[in-house]
Amino acid sequence: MSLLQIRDLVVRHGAVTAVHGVDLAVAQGEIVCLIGANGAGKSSLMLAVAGVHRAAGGSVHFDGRVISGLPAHQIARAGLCLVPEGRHIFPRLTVAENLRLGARDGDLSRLPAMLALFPILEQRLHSAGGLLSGGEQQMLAVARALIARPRLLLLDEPSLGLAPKITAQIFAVLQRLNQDEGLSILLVEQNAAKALALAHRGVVLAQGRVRLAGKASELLGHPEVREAYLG
Amino acid sequence: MLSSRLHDLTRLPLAYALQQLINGLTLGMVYGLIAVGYSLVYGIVGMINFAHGDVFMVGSFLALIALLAFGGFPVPLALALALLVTLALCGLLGFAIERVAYRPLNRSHRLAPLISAIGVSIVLQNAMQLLQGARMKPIAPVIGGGMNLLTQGSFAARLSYAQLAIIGVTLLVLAGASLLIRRTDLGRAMRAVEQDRMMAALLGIDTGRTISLAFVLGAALAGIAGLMFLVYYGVIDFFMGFEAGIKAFTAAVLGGIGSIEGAVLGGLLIGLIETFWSGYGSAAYKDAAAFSVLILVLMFRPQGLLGQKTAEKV
Ligand SMILES: Nc1ncnc2c1ncn2[C@@H]1O[C@H](COP(=O)(O)OP(=O)(O)O)[C@@H](O)[C@H]1O
Ligand SMILES: [Mg+2]
Repeated sequence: MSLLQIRDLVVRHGAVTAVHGVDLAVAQGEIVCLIGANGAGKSSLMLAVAGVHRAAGGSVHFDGRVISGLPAHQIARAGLCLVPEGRHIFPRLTVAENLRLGARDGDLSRLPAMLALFPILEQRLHSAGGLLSGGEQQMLAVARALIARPRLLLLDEPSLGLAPKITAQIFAVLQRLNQDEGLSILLVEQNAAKALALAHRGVVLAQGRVRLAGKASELLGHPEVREAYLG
Repeated sequence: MLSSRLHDLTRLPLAYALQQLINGLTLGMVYGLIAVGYSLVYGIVGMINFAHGDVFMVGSFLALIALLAFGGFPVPLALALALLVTLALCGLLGFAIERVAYRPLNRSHRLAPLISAIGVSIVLQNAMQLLQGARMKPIAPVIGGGMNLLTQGSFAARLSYAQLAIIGVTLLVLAGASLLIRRTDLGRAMRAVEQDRMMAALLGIDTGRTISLAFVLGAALAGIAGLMFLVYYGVIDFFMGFEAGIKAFTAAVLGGIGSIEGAVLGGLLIGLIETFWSGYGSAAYKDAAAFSVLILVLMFRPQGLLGQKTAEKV
């Protein structure tokens, strides 16, 4: 069975249904990328999986147990960590404090490895999170999520507003962690070309429904994907 | 009493001023301890906890009962035990207030928890009136004696041992609270929940528990303030939480609500203004003086003295 198994997921915001019965799975060690236009329901899906929104229907299994309905902090503690859209760095905490909050129960054994992956953070340890540049904030958000050794990392549009060079650096880190440590990743991206190049499989979401799904290499060549998302 | 002393003042300015300073600092410490609770809770959930002044009042009564119960013990031991009892039971009261007045209304209108806190305030006052009666409760001085710091003519500026104890214990308690908020996992979690509740939850922080503990901590500090007030003034009544609550709330806003250091600074300023105003002018307008300073400060620094300019809370 897959590490993450989403079945028939429905997410509503009041009268708006953002996700209409989506099935999606991420296997252990796999990178899956979710692409789709603005408003397709990608963030709604991610937030529902992470327990921020309560699903209106369907189920989510993680590591063999049902997590739909659990509060967000319990899902995080089970090893599923979401880096939400907009990075959400605590602006008036220092970089070091932001990282410590990611490390649960004071276990900082992964801190040196994270600082080695993102050396710029080491120089900024005592700056307030709110003073970092967008790229630094995104690196901090990823490092903060990884420091607790999650089994599955969910990333919502990590490249948004970043220079291509920074995006490439972050994607390289993700690829390395996937290859070296078997980290499983569900990645939401507008930048479909880069994301499909990194991922093993891809899923295209349109108006809250799965429109296409398949191997990343196949999707890269698919005419509809080329037209709508790779233009 | 004051006016009869007034003609002396010109002859003893320094000793008299020193006395006002000591009295003002003592009172300010009590206000500061209460103000921290307003600030903690407002910072983390954006709610003005109108029941907080009454937690202080309940703390005073608990301290009174505990001091009478431990009357046979040596004074320092009796005080320490009374402090522990008051702190623990007020903490429990803070826990209950969060459960009753805040948690069920978490997702409703912003003003709902404020109204329910006013409800809790009325319940606490009425309960205490029923249990302990409506009259003032006096207690024999617990800590006697003091030292003369400066004598000029017939006037001696005096630091009583009660004042010394209040100032010393408050400084210790505040240092402890500040350390807890700055350096511990719980403190970091509180600041994280305050700044971005969703992200805190995504990092595995139990936000409900963290909020609950902020209420507990604030209430425990108010309980300590209640004990201090009892030791200092020797009389308490069921209605005293109202005035002290308003003063401490003013202190919290003056210092910058949400800021712990600001709350202490605000408390000290309100205590000093009130004391100096009564000492040199008329006691009748001391509250007006404190509020005028508040208005003046807010005109130039709407976020308070040490508050951060923040966007509207979500
Ligand atoms: N908190 C919310 N309240 C109301 N509607 C929302 C909320 N979040 C998202 N939506 C709506 O749900 C739909 C999907 O949004 P979203 O999940 O953010 O899409 P995406 O991340 O793919 O851009 C959109 O129509 C959006 O307007
Ligand atoms: Mg989105």
